[in-house]
Amino acid sequence: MTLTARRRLHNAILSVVIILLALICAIPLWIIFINSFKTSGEMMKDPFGMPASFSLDNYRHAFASLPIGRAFLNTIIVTVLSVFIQVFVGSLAAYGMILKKSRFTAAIGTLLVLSFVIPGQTLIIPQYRMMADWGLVDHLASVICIYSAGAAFCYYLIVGYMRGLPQSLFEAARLDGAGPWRIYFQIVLPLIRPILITTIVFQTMSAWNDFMTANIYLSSVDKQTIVLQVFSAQGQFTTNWPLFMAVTTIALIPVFIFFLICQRWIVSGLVSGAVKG
Amino acid sequence: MSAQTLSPQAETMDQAAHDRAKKRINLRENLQAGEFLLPVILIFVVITIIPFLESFVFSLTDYSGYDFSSAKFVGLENYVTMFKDPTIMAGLGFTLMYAVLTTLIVTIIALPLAVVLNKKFWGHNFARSVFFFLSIPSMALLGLVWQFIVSPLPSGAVNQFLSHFGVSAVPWLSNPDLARGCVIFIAVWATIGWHATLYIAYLQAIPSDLYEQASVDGANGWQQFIHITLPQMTPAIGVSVFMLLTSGLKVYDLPFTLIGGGPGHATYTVTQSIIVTGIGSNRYGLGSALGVVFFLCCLVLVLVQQAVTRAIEKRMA
Amino acid sequence: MGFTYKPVIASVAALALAMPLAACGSSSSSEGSSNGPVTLSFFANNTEDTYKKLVQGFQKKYPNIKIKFSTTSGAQAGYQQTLQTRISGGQLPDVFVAPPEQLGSLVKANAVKDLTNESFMSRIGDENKKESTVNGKVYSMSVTSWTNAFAYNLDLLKKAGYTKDTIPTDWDGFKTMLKKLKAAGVSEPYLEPKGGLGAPVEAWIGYDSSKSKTSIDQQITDKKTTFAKTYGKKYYAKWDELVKEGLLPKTVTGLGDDQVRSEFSSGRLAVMNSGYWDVNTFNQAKLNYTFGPIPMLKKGDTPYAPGSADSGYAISSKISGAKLKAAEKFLDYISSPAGLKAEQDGLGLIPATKNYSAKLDEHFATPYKLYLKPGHVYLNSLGWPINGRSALRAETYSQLAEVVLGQESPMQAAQNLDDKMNTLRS
Repeated sequence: MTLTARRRLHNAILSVVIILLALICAIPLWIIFINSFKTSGEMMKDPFGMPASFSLDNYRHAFASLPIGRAFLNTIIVTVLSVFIQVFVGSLAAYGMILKKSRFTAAIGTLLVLSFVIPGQTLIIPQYRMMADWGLVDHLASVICIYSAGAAFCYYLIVGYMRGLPQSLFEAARLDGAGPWRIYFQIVLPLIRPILITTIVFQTMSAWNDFMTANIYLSSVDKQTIVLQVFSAQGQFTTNWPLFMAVTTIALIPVFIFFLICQRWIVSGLVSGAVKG
Repeated sequence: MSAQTLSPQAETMDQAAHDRAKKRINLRENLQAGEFLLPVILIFVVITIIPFLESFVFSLTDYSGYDFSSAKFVGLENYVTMFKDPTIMAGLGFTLMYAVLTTLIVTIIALPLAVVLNKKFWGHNFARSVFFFLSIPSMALLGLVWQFIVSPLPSGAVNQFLSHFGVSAVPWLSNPDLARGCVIFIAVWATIGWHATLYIAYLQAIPSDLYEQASVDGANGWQQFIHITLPQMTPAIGVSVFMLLTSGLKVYDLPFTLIGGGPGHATYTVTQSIIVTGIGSNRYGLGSALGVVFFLCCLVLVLVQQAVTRAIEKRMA
Repeated sequence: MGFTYKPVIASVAALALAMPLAACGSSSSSEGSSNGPVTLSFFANNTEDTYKKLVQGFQKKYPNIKIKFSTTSGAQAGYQQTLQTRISGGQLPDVFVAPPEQLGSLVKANAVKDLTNESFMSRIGDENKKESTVNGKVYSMSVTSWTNAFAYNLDLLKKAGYTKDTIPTDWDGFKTMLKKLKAAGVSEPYLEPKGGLGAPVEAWIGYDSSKSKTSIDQQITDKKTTFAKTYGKKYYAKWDELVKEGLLPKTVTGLGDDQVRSEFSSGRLAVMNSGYWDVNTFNQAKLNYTFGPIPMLKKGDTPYAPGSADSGYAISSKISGAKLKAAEKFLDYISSPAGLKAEQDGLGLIPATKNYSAKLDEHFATPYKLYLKPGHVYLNSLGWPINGRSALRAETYSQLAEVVLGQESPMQAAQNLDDKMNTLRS
């Protein structure tokens, strides 16, 4: 067998194994999808079976009774702005940390770690009182502000990556007389593209999907995000699960596509080439 | 200007002037770094630190969560109540077990998974997306679906499957040990994709010539993984472990939606205590006190983890 | 080089980016002072769609009053937390749904108006009024009620020789029926979800409580008796017979509500604790079933069931003048026959007022007659201290799970509840 033939066979086996594994792992997602076409009774009768007919009633009901369009618009505004703030601020901080290793920056690094161990539940009321003082309650700006705390999270994801890059690259640029801001925009940002995109993806998912914060701050119907519509299928005593699943499907299709697109940008030959030198 | 160009001059100066110059440079560089750090500090202090200090103040009062002006100062009473209530401490054991085991298992699985997914094979885009997407639907929904899958009844999906091999119904969620196992298994299922994606990003920073050189030297895939990938990935592992540990310590929604912290108190967690006993019971002061104590415990654990990571990184470097 | 302003600008810009959004939607709540149009903010725990009929009907009747609807999604606990948070931030809506669990705290925080002498309160049933009363004054208007009832699969019952009319009403008869069902091949005739263990216990306590002036749970709170002396000695011990006689399997400690519902819908389970909210699901599953009585301890005991008034409507204590008048008109409309009908149709709740007789699905005729009409419903947590009701209620289920697993006796479970209660009274 030639080398390329062997490699091809190897790849084929790899494809089959990994895709099979992925499909097994995705069974719960499949269950969600098929049940979105059932009635409550049908689902309760057999949660795993195929629906008797692929009835679109739940989807029709969702679009007829819930403000889906408006909710999508709100979600996009909140997600785009908050993710931009988080990733921008977080990557700036990571660069600042690389720029100078001193007791001062180390102290700030440790301080930022605190944000990972503070239990969020105890912050809800203090944060809400603050937002109420600022007059932001029931405005999209309130959730954007709360989400922006995720900058510390982004900082942490990015700083580890930057430390791994050869410092000689920054050093060379500095000797060429480039200021730190120019280095940040022209050298650092392109270099950290894989982690930058990954961070954007992570934060987009969490902003898009957040229920807790949005539920507390956004109570006017015209301000609500898409995830809040998902939960409207939840009643006091029971939940209309098929409707819940249908709205979940509606809400998640855009982010799935978003992830598929972003993936190409995470993995790219660009960086490994540039770092070589 | 950089430190390098200054150092030869400094050698000729006397010690005091040298120190002064060094300090000046130090200060300037610190200020420069400070510029970039300022936004994150600003956001962190305003959105996280100030509210947390306020919640510390709450923990010294009998604040119910409604009107703070009517709350009374009670000193350390909440902290005393906390240790008197037997159910509050019930969650500690499982929380620690969950945090440690999920961290270990996810790390062991996610890194090799990332290496495999990073290869180019037919369908790699699809496979990557699926693994990442497992945890995206809300926990309320995933909890329900998994309840049906690992139901202790003969009608549960896993039990139906096992019955084909003559295995009688396994009491998955109704046996305390099996229930803990199920929670950890589902947590691993839900988070491997996320961490594999993180590792994939970090894999891009490994210079490809390292692998090329190793191939020329005749190293096989496993040897490359041990001698190149693993050492190069230590920072990534540090980040991933830190994320797993901190989110593991704060776990609440998975065991709660899956089995309500049961059976009995088998999968009760600390955060569930904070919510059920404190915040959900109009005892925000007590909930805040719990939060403060829990924060201190986590802080110790995390600082230890950070120190260990740093030590390992130094040895690897 | 020195200090540049770029990062400061960057960070301020980042936060400021969010600000214009805030400005565009700012509506003031101080409008409508005398005779112009009045806007009422209304905060509810269900979707806009379910309230549409009610709100539209009201605005048609009073074109000068505009309802600004806001809601929070998710289950009851989510609503309570959101309402609490809003009040903590001084964002009190004009009219809002006030869950009975929260009413005490709302009164303490001076957030709700006293409704005792409002004209529309005369329509409200005594049971519903009682549950909205704090210190002798009524603070919310509850127009609907909920009750549990056992759902029986009639096809399975037939196998053991029972029909709709011979469903046992006492505990021993009930256990005999379960044994006969088992003998007839129904492997698990009766299941309770882990978050609803001890389903008949509240019915029994409800009946026993009706014989004395204060309820048994109130007496426990007042230190006149203990969980051990009541629950431990009698109620939990009786319920434990199900476990001891093999009629309730250990699997229940790992079952959610939806799984029990699923077992019943698929025709495998003969009896489950249920309520009106399951009617649609069971009808869609095309079951031959009925809602029947919850077995009482002895023959001849008056039937009771777990249940209570639903969350009532409250008016903010902070409003006055035209706004207050509008709010009163809104509550008046909600409790009028037209409003009640809109509420039953939209929200699926059962009106329980003096001026209205609800038409329900025929499957639910028995529980409506037995429990809701006479107000024979009981909820143990209503007798407990306000702070910690929900925590203690959750604890009862955890303790009963330990009993089912054989890790403690009913008496120990009750004693643990006493310990928990001690931490709540302070």
